[in-house]
Amino acid sequence: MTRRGLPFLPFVLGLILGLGITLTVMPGVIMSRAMDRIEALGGATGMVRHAPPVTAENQTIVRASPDILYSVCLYDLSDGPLRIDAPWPDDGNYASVSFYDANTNNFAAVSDRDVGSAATSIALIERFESYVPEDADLSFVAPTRTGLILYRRVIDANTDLAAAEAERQGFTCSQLSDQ
Amino acid sequence: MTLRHLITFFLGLIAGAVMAVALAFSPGEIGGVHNGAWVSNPNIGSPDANPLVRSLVARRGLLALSREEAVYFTATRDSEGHNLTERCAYEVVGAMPPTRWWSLTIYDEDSFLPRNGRNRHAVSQTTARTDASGHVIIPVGQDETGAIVTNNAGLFSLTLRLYHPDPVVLDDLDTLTFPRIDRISCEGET
Repeated sequence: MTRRGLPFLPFVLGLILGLGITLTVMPGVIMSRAMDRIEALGGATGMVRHAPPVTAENQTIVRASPDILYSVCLYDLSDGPLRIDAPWPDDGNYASVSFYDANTNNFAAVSDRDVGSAATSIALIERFESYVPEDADLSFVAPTRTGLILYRRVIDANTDLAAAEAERQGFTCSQLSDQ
Repeated sequence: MTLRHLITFFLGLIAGAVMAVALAFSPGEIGGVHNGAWVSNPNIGSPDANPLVRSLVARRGLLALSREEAVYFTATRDSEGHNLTERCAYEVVGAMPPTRWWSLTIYDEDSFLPRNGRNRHAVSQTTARTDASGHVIIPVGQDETGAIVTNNAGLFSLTLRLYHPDPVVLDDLDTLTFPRIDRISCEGET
């Protein structure tokens, strides 16, 4: 009985290891699949895709909100830092820009409430990058080389949708080295 | 170390991987803060989140906002503990927690907006009906009965988003007053 009980230990070791590895790897896999889906949708202006308001028919991400306009920029810092420009709603509604790394971590965010101006410029740089942004209002360090940046803007029953659409065209991602 | 040990080790490895996927894809919320029918996970979007929470969030709330920006509460049950189902009609009634803006949205079992040809998936601070004391009254049900329409939603969930919640919300997630989810009637009942 004792000899037959021995395989129990390797099984438990395997179980813990399998559980740990899978849980650690899963967010990265889910994130990369989501990024592929967004990329496949195309229709990007520059590096930004301005998604149409979410409906039951066009949803690509779980639990998206029909009360938010989403614009997304997939980033890759292989060619150097990025500059992100974000406009803030002039109708007083909530808007924010959130930064997610390749493991789904939300490593930075800035919202209209955090700044007093009508727009904000942000430099996104890789870890250990020596570049110091000069004219950006803010700068964030990305934990991973790729990831995505999400602009959100509340649209409510009183929002002028055409104006909100025009306004969010000001959300842009561009290579800093191009400038 | 025998072949048998190796085989059982690999069987364990596979079982662990299957368990991880099952946990992340399970319908229930794991951990989190409970408040009446509502459950929130304050670790959403945080690098402090443990691997299981991160996997759950990646699966169920990918690209969620951090808690300073927005707090998410999800209900899969009514205030009496019954699963929310499209076969019943509900009312979400009571005081909303203090926040800059809120919205309440329905999702089906797969965390997507239910496809029912009706564009009534959400109610917000801007559109909600309130009584004299400022309490919301949100009917949730089939077709004409619902401000939020439940057709084709199966066993659904309601997600309440509080944008720029007042600090008291972040400090007292479990003691705040939230709206109740009252079951009004169900199919087959008179």
